[in-house]
Amino acid sequence: MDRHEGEDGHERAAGGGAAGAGAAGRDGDRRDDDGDDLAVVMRRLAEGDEAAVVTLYERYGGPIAAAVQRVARQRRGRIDRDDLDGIVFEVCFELASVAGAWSPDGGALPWVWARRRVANVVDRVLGQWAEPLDEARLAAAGAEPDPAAAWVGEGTMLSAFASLVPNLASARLLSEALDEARISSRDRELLFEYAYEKHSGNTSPAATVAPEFGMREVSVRQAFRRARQRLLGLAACDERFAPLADLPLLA
Amino acid sequence: MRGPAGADAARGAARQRHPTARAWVPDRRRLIVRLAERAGARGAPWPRVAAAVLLLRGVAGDDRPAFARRLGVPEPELDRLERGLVPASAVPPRLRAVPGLVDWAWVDAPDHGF
Repeated sequence: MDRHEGEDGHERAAGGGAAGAGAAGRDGDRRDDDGDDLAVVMRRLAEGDEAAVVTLYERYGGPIAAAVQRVARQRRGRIDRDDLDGIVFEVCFELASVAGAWSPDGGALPWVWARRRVANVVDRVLGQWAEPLDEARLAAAGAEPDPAAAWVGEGTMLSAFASLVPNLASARLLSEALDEARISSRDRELLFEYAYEKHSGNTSPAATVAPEFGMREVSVRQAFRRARQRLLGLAACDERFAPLADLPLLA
Repeated sequence: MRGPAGADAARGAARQRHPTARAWVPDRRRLIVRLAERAGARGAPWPRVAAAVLLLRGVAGDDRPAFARRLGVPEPELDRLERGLVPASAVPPRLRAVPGLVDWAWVDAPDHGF
């Protein structure tokens, strides 16, 4: 059986022999649609077909490895190639165990959809992770006003958020996502104001926020929903922004 | 695939053309050992046979009926192979003829240690 580099860069088996004949038949046609292919592999996993774990690893090991590396970077950990291979196997087995709950209609890749399980596998290798304390900032904090006051003080929500961006990883990520999703300045402000009211227990956040922006309540609700959907869409489609889906702001 | 899933497919294809995906090379040697460990943990008498057959079917991407047809063996026999219920001597010659993917000397070794 010969091996050749597939269009997606994966080494594939082709040529004579039983396994080779199977691979050769797919390279030309069934592999044309990777989304369909992934859905088929996931369905077979859901049916308990252990060979599909191998198929998932063979065909999607690259993006799964990238997702693993991303989690490791978030943990400020380093994974060598040997560890990475082992983690990718384990992620494939984890995905097999939850494959029945995944649907291609959701739009998220399985390893993005199951990102917490991916993170758990990485954590088992790297150990528990916590963001280290910045001693200098901690010392300076005593001399600074309470940051929480900024959220209710004279500044806008957006300016308070901007002050968090340099120091808080999740705020940095959200800031990048707001740029990436091309949320306008007005809609960013509205997003924060609306979410603040909502999470403060205001049962009519649109009624409170609308006058501040000179908008009708229905328009406020639409603008909030539009911005939220764009950010959640980004979180579902781009693994880098996947953690945003867990933010209470977008709940 | 339509709608969001269609976009998902396009995105997946784009990602796999990306240089970071191209760098990925499956480590089948370790994978087969891991599969054998799992089969051994399930109590398979011949876990390496199970691992080898599962690996080959997984690489081919076939479901069990299609692979059984390709091998020319009844599906229940393929099932026994994949569950490690038969020795290496029962592996069909067509599987052994697949070069490069499985170290058959490792599969045939009498002391499996799993």
